[in-house]
Amino acid sequence: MTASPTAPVGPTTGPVALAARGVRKSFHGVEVLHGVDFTLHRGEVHGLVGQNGAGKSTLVKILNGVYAGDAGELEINGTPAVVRGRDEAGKRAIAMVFQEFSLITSMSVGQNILLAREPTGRSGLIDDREVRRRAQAALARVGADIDPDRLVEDLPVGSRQLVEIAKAISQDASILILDEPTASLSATEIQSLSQAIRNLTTHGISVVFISHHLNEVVDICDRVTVLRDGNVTLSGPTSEVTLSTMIEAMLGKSLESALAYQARDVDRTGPPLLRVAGLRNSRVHDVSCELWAGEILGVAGLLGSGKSELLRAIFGIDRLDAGTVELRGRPAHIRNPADALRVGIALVPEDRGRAGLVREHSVGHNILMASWTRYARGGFVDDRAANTAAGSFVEQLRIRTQGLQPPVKTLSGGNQQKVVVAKNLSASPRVLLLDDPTVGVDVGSKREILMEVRELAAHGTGVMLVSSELEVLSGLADRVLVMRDHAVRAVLERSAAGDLSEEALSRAVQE
Amino acid sequence: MSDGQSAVVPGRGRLRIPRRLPSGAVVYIGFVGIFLFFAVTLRDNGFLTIDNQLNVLRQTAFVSVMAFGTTFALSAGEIDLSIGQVVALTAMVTAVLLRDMNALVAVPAGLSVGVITGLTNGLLTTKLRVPSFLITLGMGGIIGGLSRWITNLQPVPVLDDNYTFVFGSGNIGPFPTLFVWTIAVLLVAHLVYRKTTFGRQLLATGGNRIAARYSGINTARIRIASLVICSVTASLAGLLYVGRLHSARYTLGETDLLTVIAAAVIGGTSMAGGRGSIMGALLGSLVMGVLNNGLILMGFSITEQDIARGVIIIVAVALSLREAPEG
Amino acid sequence: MRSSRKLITALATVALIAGCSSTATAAPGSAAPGSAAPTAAAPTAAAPATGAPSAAPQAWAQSDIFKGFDPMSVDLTGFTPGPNGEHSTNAADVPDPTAACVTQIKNAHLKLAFLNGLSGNTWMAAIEKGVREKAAEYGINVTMTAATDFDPAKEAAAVETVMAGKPDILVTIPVDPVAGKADYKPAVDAGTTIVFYDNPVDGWTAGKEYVTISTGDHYRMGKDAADLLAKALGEKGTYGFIQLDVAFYNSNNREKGFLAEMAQKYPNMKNVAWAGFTDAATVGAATDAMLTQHPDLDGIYISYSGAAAGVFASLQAANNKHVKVVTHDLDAANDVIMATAGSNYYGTAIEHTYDEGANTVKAAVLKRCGVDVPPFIVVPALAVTRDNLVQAWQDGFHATPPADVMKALGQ
Repeated sequence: MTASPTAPVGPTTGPVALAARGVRKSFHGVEVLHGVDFTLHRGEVHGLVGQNGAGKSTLVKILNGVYAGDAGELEINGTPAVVRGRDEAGKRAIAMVFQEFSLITSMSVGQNILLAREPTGRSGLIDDREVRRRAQAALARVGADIDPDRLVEDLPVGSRQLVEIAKAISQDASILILDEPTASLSATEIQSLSQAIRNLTTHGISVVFISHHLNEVVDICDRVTVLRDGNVTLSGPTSEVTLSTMIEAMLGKSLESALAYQARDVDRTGPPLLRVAGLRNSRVHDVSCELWAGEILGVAGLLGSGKSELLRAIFGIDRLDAGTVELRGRPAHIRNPADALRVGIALVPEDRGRAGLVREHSVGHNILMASWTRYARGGFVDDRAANTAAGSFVEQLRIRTQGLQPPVKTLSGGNQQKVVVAKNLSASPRVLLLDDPTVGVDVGSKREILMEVRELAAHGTGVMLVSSELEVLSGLADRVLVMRDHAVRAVLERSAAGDLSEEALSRAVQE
Repeated sequence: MSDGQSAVVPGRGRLRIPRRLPSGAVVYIGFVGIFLFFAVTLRDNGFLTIDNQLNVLRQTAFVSVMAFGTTFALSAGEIDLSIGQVVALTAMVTAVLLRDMNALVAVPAGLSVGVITGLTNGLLTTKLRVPSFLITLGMGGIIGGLSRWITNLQPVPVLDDNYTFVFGSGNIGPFPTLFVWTIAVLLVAHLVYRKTTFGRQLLATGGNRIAARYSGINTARIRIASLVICSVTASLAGLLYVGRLHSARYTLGETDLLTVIAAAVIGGTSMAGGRGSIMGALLGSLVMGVLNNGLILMGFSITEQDIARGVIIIVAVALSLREAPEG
Repeated sequence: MRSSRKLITALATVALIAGCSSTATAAPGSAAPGSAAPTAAAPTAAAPATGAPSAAPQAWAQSDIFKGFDPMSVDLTGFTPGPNGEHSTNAADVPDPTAACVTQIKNAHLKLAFLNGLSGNTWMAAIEKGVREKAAEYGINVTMTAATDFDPAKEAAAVETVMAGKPDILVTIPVDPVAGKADYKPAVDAGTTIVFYDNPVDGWTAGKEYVTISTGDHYRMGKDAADLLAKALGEKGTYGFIQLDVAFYNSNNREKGFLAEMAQKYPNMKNVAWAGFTDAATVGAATDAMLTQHPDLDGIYISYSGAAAGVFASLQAANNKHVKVVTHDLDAANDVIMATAGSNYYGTAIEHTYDEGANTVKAAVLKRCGVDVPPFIVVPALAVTRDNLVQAWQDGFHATPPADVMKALGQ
């Protein structure tokens, strides 16, 4: 009813490299794949999209043998296949490049590419020259110009991604699965990645390309398959689909409404809620700004412009050399995050895994991490009150979880991010600092997070929103601070329609 | 699921232990299993007698009490390697003061050994940013040296009957005071660990210190507190040793460290922090105690006892560390 | 800024530790040595240290446990007396149980529990062997063994645990004379026949709480060691003295016997270096230091063989072939060195460990047959060099030396 049934499959572009039919899989008695069909042709780039939790990861893990399916058929290069475990998957010519980098950063590029398969000389010792030669060959196939002797930790993220791919294809994979390869890449890096993928297909390699960025999928892929709730809701050549049909197939509804700016009345007559004056440390140079209650203040800037560092400085993580933070006209002496939260400033950090969550702990305990003292009497936690509060946040943010008990690591990325947001909301902040809250988050969760931000502002919370996604700033921010080289270069107001368009922001950031 | 050759997405041919036992269940099962094994094989050898079961409770009291403290330290992502020496120094200080003064002075003085050591461990760990592993290793040396030096390696007898009754030698009704102490500390520790904001913040700090800091938790204070708690339980164990042995000696507690850590880990406490159980620590300690007791009563030689104990500890720790598969 | 904070923290720590230690040590100076260590000081005349014969102080005077010890006061003409001045009896003079007694014991099917003081130790293993074989002779079952590892707390647990198995006889080496009273109370209360090996329990008397103490003649083990060293060095030269720095009645007596014989008989042998250890692993480093300070050292005495490995390793590393070493006990690894002609290891003075173990069982049997048992039973010492090493293993352990030792002996 909601989904348009499977779209007509595009013309076969070559022999079938991989075919899966009717794949089913359950976890703990809950079926997450309901008979999925998936066909990958040789030399094809096939986009696989869907919200987190739609079943992409599960499908892909079944394809390369990490999981066992419960039912269905699998064919590789025309032969029925039983794929067991990673080693045989390697033999079966399927290689996967994981979302979390699997490179050992303290080792060289060459050592990584040939890890555990190092060629040895007659002496039994590793032949470093041969390592370099083979690594170079693999890098050349990807079209990457990277010195195999460099340490991975010295490489930019985009190059690391290429090394990761070179590592995969150096194992003679004919099918390559890329899990969100562009998540942390800049535009130019995405360009060279796209070029690398093209190079590979001319060698007859087939690529499964998983991404949340639908534009990239359209640009890079030949065909696309959309999953929603464990079903295929769309599959066809990218030439025949549009962004909106894809979004519809993913969500059953569109994102556009969430990203359209909704005018808000911000009362700027009184004193500001937050006043930052002359903030200075090694990474923020003399920044001043004001934030009023109910306002969403965007912060734009390229990587390294100092926008995240501004939030960190306000929140008391990085030490200040000079400057003051005032809340409602009163100086707030913030030396650490505990001080910041005490005066009502909360921060949703950029890196949720590292700074936001305790991955092993339950959803409930993560949500309550910043606010245990609120739900306690005489030091003892009132678990009923605490769980009620946590439960209401789960509902409010539509966190998809089976109750408060499961470890937060079992949630999808988007839902994990909602947990981080919930944790900060549980401290009832008057000022909410958000550091790129929608990065690496699926479209559905992104929509829900942005709606919540809007809702908070409507209820009088002051929001400072750092984002690397200009569409987010364009859709939400009332004003935008533009940062470059650790300082504020401009403050863009929304006085007329189109003032804070993506194009305008893009220009301001680049100038 | 089909198993024909042209079939199908395959099952993984791997044995799965039942997934997701309630957390810490392994130690309960292990304890019951070991207990039943001895109860059956040793039914004629006095294992099941009340006296012998009270023996186990008496003998495990020291390790249990320290395992509770160590559960706090481990849960905060810290470790305290100086507990054995704190036991000894507490015992020496207390015994010497009992001889010259009285219990009202000796007991607080003994406990202050734990407080001071724990505070020092905690402050050095957090302020100098040196892992507690190294700080407490060094403190162990200092404390151990002090307890040898105090009486020049001589044991000190304790003649204060009231003291020895309360701390370790007496019985209240059928129950040894050592058991009463164990239960009292267990309850307090369990409540603090499970039911207080401190307990929750402790687990968050151990689970992800950066995230805890971002959540406004004073992680330094939590870590210091965890090390103080750990040291104080070691001091309490020292007081109990003095009461049980009617004397103090610098070697007391020397060999307890690894047993204590093993008890905590068998009980489901993660050495990486963020997860633990006080009840589990008690059971871990009882597993070790029942094992020692049963193996002796079985008539094994010392060598055989050592081997059997080693094997069972490895199995127990492996089972309790086994994590549910991700996904 | 931050460095100053670190400094303050460090200073505060030092202050804390100093404060803690000063409160802790205030008391013992006044009272500890006398009251806490009556056993260690028992046979010692309370002569001031200045009463020593030689004008030049000997290095061992640095030892804290031997403070005030006068080597001239030790009587080396008879067997070592017991810790409470008990008269010692040569094991050879203790009568064997009568045939009727043996029958009575065999019919009783007695159970014996053995507490092992130091598991994994050759000397302890020989005692256990003596106990087990003698027990088998009388039809007594050794039903339980438990380790005490020289830890009074473990000892308490071990006693309680074996008592659950209701043994008739308990053979043990008490770990700590002070804690022993609490540790062995359950066994005494249960009426168990208790025989001690080596060590006493403070305030207890033989024939009452326990039957007897079985041990070796430790003063004269020390005396034999001194004679061996004197012989090795031609009755003159310098030597280092390495002692187990713990108040144990017997090991202290060996050391005292050694020093007494040296003082009384060999005025030309000078003790120039002293080291104490509580952990055998540190002996190597102590020897290194000794050799560095006294490169021309002629001999070393160390009070038990288990710790002597460090001495030999140190001498070997220094390529020192000159120093002659004398110690106590047999040890499979060290004895290979002794067996090698011309090595550093000159000799060892041993006790008859196996027999002393067996004597505990014999004493228990006599006691249960109603025979009076002397309070302190000793077996004479034996001086051992390469020449009588094989016989020493027979006498001491009732065993042949390990193959490696035989090979080094050329046999």
